[in-house]
Amino acid sequence: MSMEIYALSDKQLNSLAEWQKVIDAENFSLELSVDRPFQALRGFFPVKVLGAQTGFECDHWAPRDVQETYADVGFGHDWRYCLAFRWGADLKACLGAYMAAAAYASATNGVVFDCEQGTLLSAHEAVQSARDVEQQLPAMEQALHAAVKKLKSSS
Amino acid sequence: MFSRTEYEEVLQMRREFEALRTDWERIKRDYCDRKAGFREDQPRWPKGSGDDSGRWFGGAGTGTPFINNAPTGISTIDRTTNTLGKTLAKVIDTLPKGRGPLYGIAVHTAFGLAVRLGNIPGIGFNDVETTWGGVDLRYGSLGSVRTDVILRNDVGDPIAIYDVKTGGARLTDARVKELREAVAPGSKIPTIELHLERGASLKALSITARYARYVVATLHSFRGVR
Repeated sequence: MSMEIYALSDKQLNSLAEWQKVIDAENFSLELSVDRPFQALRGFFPVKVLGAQTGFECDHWAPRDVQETYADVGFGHDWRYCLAFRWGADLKACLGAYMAAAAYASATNGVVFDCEQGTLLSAHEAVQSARDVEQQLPAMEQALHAAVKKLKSSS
Repeated sequence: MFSRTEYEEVLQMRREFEALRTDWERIKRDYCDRKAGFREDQPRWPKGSGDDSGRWFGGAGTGTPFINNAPTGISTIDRTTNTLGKTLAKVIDTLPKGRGPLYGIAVHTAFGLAVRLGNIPGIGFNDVETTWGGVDLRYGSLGSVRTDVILRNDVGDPIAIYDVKTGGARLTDARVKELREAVAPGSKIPTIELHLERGASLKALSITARYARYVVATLHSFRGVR
């Protein structure tokens, strides 16, 4: 998987159930698999997005790795914790990762780093960003379908 | 006969005339260059880019160019890097211009498909978006990590990892380490980032900023260092 965003914070949530509560409070159509301890998050994390089964990689990550790689980004201060969200060619996984990261930042008073855009989003902005992704999803699904068709016919 | 003063005046007039002629030639050349789409800051394909070496890239009407900055000295890998980079560039030309997370997914999806359909030596159908580790090896297995593309040698061992990035995203050292540990534990398998770069390029004397796009391959941690 290759696309990624990071949620940076100075505190952590205690459980996935707690995280799910924040997701529900934001009215995100995202259901986490809450069958493991929060600290055990590593690699692929199955979730349901808009009722469909999908998932993304979710790892406890070293904030320093992110802050050093993107040294030109003003991170404000050295964050204590970081969650990395990664996904590949799956639109719903992308939406799920944005929702999860936004809710997490919201609950921990943290930020979301969107490395593709090179922007650091406040929790509020991250929530808005997740809603934007959700809104653009149908149009992008159509565009992608058309591009795949074009590629198949040209090969 | 000219007097000395008259002679100096004629010389001065001649110098001015030469200066005017030089200016005129420069203006005429600039005009022709602009008309032909010449841009002083427009880069050329670097040496070693095959038939494209030395040609301009990024101009109007040309495809997205690819620059291989990831030579390993291993011909199989370097050849594959060129093929994958050019495939990614071609894919980008197929998609409408865009940015953001959904655009990134569109690039990944179309690239994955193009690689699978491309019948590239050493890259099988299952070497695109491959799951590693986790509780089992099926798609989306709990705890697993996934690679974009894997290149294998004749006996089927992975010999290179390829990761596609778009926009400002970069492959971090820790991620490179994680991928290498998942694919070939304890090895220093070359990990190559294929990056779609974007940058504003101002066409000479035009007031419209245009996006220049190109694909660059970067080698990570071949000898344990970036």
